[in-house]
Amino acid sequence: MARTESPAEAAPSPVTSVPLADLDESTIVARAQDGDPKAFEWLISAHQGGVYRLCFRMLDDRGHAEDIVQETFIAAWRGLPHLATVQAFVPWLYRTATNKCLDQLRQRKRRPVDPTAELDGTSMEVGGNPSSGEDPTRSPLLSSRGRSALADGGPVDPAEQIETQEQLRALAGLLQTVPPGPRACWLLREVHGFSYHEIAAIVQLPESTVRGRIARAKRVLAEGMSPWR
Amino acid sequence: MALNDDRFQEERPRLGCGRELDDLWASIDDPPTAHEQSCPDCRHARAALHHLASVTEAMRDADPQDPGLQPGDRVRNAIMMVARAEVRRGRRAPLRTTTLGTIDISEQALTALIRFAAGTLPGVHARRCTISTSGEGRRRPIAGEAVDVGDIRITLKVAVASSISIPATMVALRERVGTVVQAQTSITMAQIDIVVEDLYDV
Repeated sequence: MARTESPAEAAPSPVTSVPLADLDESTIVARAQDGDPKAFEWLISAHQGGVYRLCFRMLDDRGHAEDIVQETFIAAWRGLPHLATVQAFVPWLYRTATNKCLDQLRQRKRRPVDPTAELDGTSMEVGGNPSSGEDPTRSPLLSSRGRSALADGGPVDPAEQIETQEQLRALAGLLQTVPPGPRACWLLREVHGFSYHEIAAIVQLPESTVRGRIARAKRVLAEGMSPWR
Repeated sequence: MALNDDRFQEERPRLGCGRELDDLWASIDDPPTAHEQSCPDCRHARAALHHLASVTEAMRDADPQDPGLQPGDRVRNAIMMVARAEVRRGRRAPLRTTTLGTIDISEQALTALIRFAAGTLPGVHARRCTISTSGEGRRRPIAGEAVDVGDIRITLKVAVASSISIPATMVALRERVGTVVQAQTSITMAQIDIVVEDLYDV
């Protein structure tokens, strides 16, 4: 029979080991590589939100975004022992999630999820323009973002807050009109803060192509946001 | 070549005045240049990009705080269920034989104990730990097989604080790991190799 007690319980000691939260992230990745579930759970806490928001902004679908977060982290657990360097972990997560999102968007294009959208002549890609802000499938998430903008603001002019919410809603909607490739690059750069070099590694494209895609996305978004100035 | 030019245009959008949008964006926080003040294309694009930058910043700040933009608990639970079901316990080291059978410690539990012991020293963050025995040759270890407890050799990788004295800490670390493992499992390790692979606070 294998003894599986955690060392902290099995070995009461006058000295204590460094708690997980006080370790550097590279050490936590290394421990997860050795199969430590607690270290891995810490990494989930640290990164699931960012990966989820990337997937949600890519797919505009909460359920599909959650599925991809789940698949990405399960793949991470299985792939961790083979990861060459601990620094590669976070870019690897985003690369896996981005690829899964792009695959899903390609599948949607081939086989639209909602047949009535096709009959109405509205494709998946243009579903998020600002005029469709009243779309009942979208409004719960938008309104929840609106609430948090209000909650975070403190004593600020309510009119200004409403305007900010409207602008965030417009940007989120417009983002869905940007083609998936440029959308992924723009999100990774502008929202998740990766460098051009890192994004080139994540999407497996030359840095010049990444720059071009981000510039294309900015043009679509900046032009689309103009009416809100 | 015309085709390449078209592709270039497609990849790198330009304003009406011929300037690349990416260049304009790169200097968006600087004061407008003489050209930007006089060129209507640049002025319009600058204003639009400025506005986009401020809304993007608002999104970057607001999204992580938004409880509606976090995955549900079911996601973490599902991931951890798989992770726990697939915990790699590795080989087993028999510690003692009783009338009821043999008491083993798994490789995974032993490396966790070693990391715990290392972590009790200030300035040491224990990373990966591998266990080998001299008898196994080049053969890949098989999970679940028994190892020879009389010949356990470990390699422990650590990150250390930049302020510590590495040679003195390595002596103390080797002693601490050996003592704790001996006390908790009665295993006396044949060899303890320690690799300092990083400084964690620089």
